[in-house]
Amino acid sequence: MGADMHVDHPQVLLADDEKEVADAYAVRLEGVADVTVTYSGAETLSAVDPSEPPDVVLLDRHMPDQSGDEVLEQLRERNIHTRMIMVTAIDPGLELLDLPFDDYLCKPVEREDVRAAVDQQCQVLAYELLGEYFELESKRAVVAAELPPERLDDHEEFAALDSRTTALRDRVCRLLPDAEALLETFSGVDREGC
Amino acid sequence: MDDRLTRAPVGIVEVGPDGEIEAVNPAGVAILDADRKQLTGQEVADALPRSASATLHEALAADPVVERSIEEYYPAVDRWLAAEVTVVDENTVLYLRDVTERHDSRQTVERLQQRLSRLESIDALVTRVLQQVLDASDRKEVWETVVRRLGTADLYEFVWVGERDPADDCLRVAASAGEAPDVLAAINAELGSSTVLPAQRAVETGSACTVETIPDDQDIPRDLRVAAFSRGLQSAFAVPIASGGTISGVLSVYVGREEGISPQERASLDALGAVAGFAIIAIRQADLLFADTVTELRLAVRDESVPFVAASAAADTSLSLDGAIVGDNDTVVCYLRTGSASDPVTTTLADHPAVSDVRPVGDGDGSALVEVKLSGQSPLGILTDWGATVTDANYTAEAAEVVVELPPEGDVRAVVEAVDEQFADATIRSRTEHTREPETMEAFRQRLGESLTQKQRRVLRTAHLADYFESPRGSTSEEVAEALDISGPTVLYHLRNAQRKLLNAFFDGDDRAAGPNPDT
Repeated sequence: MGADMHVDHPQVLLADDEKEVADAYAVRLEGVADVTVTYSGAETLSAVDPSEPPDVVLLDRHMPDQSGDEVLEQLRERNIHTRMIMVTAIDPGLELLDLPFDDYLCKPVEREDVRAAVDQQCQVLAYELLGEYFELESKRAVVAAELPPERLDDHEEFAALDSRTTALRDRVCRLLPDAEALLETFSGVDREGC
Repeated sequence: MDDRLTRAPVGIVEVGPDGEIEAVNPAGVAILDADRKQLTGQEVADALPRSASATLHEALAADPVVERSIEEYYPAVDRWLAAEVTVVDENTVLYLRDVTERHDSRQTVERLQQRLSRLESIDALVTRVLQQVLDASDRKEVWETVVRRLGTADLYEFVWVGERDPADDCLRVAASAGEAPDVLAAINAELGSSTVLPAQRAVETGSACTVETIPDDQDIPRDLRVAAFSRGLQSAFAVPIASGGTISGVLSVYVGREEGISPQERASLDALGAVAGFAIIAIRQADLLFADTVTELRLAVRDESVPFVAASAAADTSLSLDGAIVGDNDTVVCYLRTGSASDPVTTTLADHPAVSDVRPVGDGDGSALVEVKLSGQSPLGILTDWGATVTDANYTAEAAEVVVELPPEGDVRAVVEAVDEQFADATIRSRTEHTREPETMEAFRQRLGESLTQKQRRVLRTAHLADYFESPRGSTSEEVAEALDISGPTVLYHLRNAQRKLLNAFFDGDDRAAGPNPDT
């Protein structure tokens, strides 16, 4: 597999208590992702900003203060749109699992593998977000069409919906380079009926 | 570069004002894992390996260059480097030292400290559990104590105790702790199937079973591997809860830590299994000791491999058990009464593999007493291990018939199955419940007083008052004799008779053959 990724510079947060290991992953993703490195569970949790969550988190399963599993559980509780990849020391070789994380990598992780895993998860995330975007956008479009423009301007709920939709759209476009055309088609549909 | 710098033990990199490397000494070339010719003339930003935070590159890229010390890990060369950025005239000079070794030893120290402190907490934990297990008043409390203590201590992610059902040899979960419902469900499902879990292996072999990495151990059922992997459980350790060859159950612990379960930790858990096993048996025996009602069981074992059955067949005589004392290391000392002279019995027994010692105690009129030390498996040993008290036993050429008392909650089926497991064809001849009336101290004294003659009582009491029974003796038998105006041999004769009656009364005469030895 080549080292090229579909996605352009996704936000990646990686955590490993062994600095050497964490730094090595960071260097492997250098130039293709915006990487934040953390060296403990606590540091990882405080590095995640819910208003601007990372696209992918790479979590070492074995960290002494808080295990990767604990960090994962707490991040899940925050209801953020982030894909979680566990980095483990063992390769169970089990397929089709209903695992509590999105993917796993077994140490040592090669440059191609870590890039491919991040890229793949970004695509999954993009499609996940796309669904939500369509939902919000159809709502926004209906409201926009029904209310006169002067009432929309100081309509708080609409403003919130509008900015959430825009943020989602931006993120989808960032993660999925060919999303632009798809979104244009969607916006072209006449929803309010004639 | 000047000779003194060329031969310096630290790496030196000279960078010109344009950011290009002008010179590198051999130490620098070695540290950077590079080719000297390639380094010279190259952009310093391209030539140096990057660290994750790129601190060194930032310092060099600043205009003007910032003088500072930077210690970082550089994945490309897999080294920790300490760099001094200095500005000399127009040039930037980098002094580089390889400090990987220092970081490696720091990590080793940290790892060892972590291991030590974990071991200390495990030891402290096991000691606490041991104390509580010994205070437990029933079986369920033993299981609960072990599981609750271990499972909530942050050292073990998941703990379960299995109790063995001797009827079908199946394990069932008696108690568990830890947040892993899917793992528990997988274990419960597997216990009913034909697959073999580590816990079952431990019960079968009677020794501990370790699984280093559950997810990739093909011997473990797939569902359990999946559940363990998704819970982050990496290693498992199962230790039998057993004492004196009797396996009552099994303790299983699961951990998620990368380094698994150390040999020292396994030893601590092994000890816990042994003490819990001992506690279970002690509880069974205590149940009997304090029980108001007991179950009397008449058990027939038709197996020629029972040592006394074999002896009875060879000597063509029936044998009866006067009493048996359970000793350490699974030995049982038995006193057997034969219907004939002791010779043929002792000869046969001496050759039996389960017998470690035989000694004729004395021959009487048509009967003899033989002392036999059993060290292998025997129905008597198994029965007492299960908390039963043997009250009578008779042996013929075909079968052994043993009468035992069990506490009311005693599991009759379990006891019989335990015997049946080792010997062919163990069957229950009869089973009765009866109430035991505790004898009062007064009643005991009266019974004893009635059995002693006037003379025996007088001699015994005089000897007792004259400190004859102290060690060293306060008076000799001659002195006691003088006090009573009788002969020395007469004193000894009366004393012995009185003592025998006293001991008979204390040990409840012929009622009681074998029971837990109070000294062991």
